Amino acid sequence: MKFIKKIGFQVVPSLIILTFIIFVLVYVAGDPVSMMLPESATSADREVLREALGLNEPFLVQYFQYLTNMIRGNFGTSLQYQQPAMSLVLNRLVATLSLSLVSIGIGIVISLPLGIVAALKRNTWVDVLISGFSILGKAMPNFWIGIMLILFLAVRTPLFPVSGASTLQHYFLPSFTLGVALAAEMTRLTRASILEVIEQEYVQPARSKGQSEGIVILKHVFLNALIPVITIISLQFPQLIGGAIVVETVFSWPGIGRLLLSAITNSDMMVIQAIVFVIAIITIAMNLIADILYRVLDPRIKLN
Amino acid sequence: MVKKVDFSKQNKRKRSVNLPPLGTIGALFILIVTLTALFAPFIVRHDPFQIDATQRLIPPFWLEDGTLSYPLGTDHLGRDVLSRLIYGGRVSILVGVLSVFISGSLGLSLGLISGYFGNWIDSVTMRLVDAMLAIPTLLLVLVATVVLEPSLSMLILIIGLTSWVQYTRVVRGEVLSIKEREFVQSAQTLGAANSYIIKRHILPNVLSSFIVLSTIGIGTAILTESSLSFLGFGVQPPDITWGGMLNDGRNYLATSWWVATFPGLIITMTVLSFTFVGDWLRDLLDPRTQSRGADLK
Repeated sequence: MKFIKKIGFQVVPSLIILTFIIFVLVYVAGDPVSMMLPESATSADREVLREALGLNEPFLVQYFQYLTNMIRGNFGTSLQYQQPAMSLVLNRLVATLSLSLVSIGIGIVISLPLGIVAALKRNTWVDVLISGFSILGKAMPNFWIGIMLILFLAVRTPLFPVSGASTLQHYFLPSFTLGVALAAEMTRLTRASILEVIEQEYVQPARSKGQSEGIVILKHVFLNALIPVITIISLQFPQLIGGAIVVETVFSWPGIGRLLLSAITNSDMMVIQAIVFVIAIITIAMNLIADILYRVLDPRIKLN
Repeated sequence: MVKKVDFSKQNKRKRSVNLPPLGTIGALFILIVTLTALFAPFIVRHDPFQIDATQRLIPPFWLEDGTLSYPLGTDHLGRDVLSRLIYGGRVSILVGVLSVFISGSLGLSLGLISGYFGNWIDSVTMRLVDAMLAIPTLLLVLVATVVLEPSLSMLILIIGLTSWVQYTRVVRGEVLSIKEREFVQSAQTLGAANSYIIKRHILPNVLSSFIVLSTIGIGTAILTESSLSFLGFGVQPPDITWGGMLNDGRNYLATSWWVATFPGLIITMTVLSFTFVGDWLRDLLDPRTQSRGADLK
């Protein structure tokens, strides 16, 4: 029930605002007619096409047409490829999503142990070093991380391929690049989350019962600290996609990031808006899933 | 969301680590980058735009074939890397500071208004925030460059208008708790005007988090600008940007690592410096957290 309410009062209005922003951008970006017709077209030809495309209607009428088209799943045709924009985007989405998933995996593998160690050894040199990594990871531009990885792991010692996505090895450099940036943020949050749980009342009795420190940490601290970390992963998703746009360029990864850049270069607005829409939908869906997981994992939240 | 950890408890424990004054180091670095960028024409020893085919890809001075005349080497067109780094600071610092000025004032005002007045104003603002949060800032900025030609001032405007969300969220959250406090309630009971209450009672109390956030935000804006320049959608050549330099150097990694390495290094150090200064300001402005800075955010 709560979710239906949330979708009705939060998700749908946000989506409407979002489509409106995208529409305004497309509207301002100008006349697709001049791009669709050859230079030699007469102004009468242009006028016919404008009328056919509904470009002579008032702004709001055009917006509602645009909304109804979207609901019907019609996102227009790519000027560059002469294909439906949405199917073009969905075809490329797989590559980006698989890259993102591997990056999230790498991010978790790096950040969970680091975050736990930093929290347990807080205010020691170990903690300072790990926190240093976390700050540094956020300050480094991901395209630079990528290029430095290429320099050391592909150019100096040719261990991994630099471009393309045909084999598993191709995943290493781009997903590691994205994973490091993600791990930087997640390490900090894991540390904070663990520190908070350690202070909770229910951890002390576990210790008093004579359970070994390892079990206390694992059973009572770690599992509880994991809950916010899960949410964080979903909140990091837009950032991850933003990073992917850049990283795909560095490693010639055939995902939506590169599709987006070529669409921008060619003012292919249909593809651009399809990409923005898809990313927004995935983000919103991930937030909802995180919300559900959060409630399932932490029974206290239900009571509130 | 993660609840804020109460660091005051931890900090009563004895600390075993003494860190160097990172805030001061950061501030010093920012000062150097800013001053050299400002007075670039008087400092650089080579014209950063001067193409010289005879001086292509000279390594930094400590390597064989390097010369002190080009301390950090030259790029593929024989231009001095150090001079270009100094000039590149102009775009980065300018875009960083001015775009945060825009995003900060926008985010602060929206946060104050929606937090204080609540009701439908708050609902509309928060839905707008949700919508903005669903799209990566970089994507939004990239899309905006299709519509608006990416000149320096446009770039500042675009980045400013797309990165106000975090200010609104934080400020609104703080306003929500401050407006329940006694001094605000009593001012309201006494019949003070809303604008007066916001100015005299609310604003001063959110200002410290806002300043911290803005400082770190400058670093984030610089990162966005660099990514954009790297992708070729930022300030266009011949104007020099760190991101653009990095992109130039990409093709020469096998032979000349320095062309791509130094711009990335200076971006990292600049962003890091703004983070350090932000953390230092946080400690300075908030008497509750006498932390050792850096890692405690």
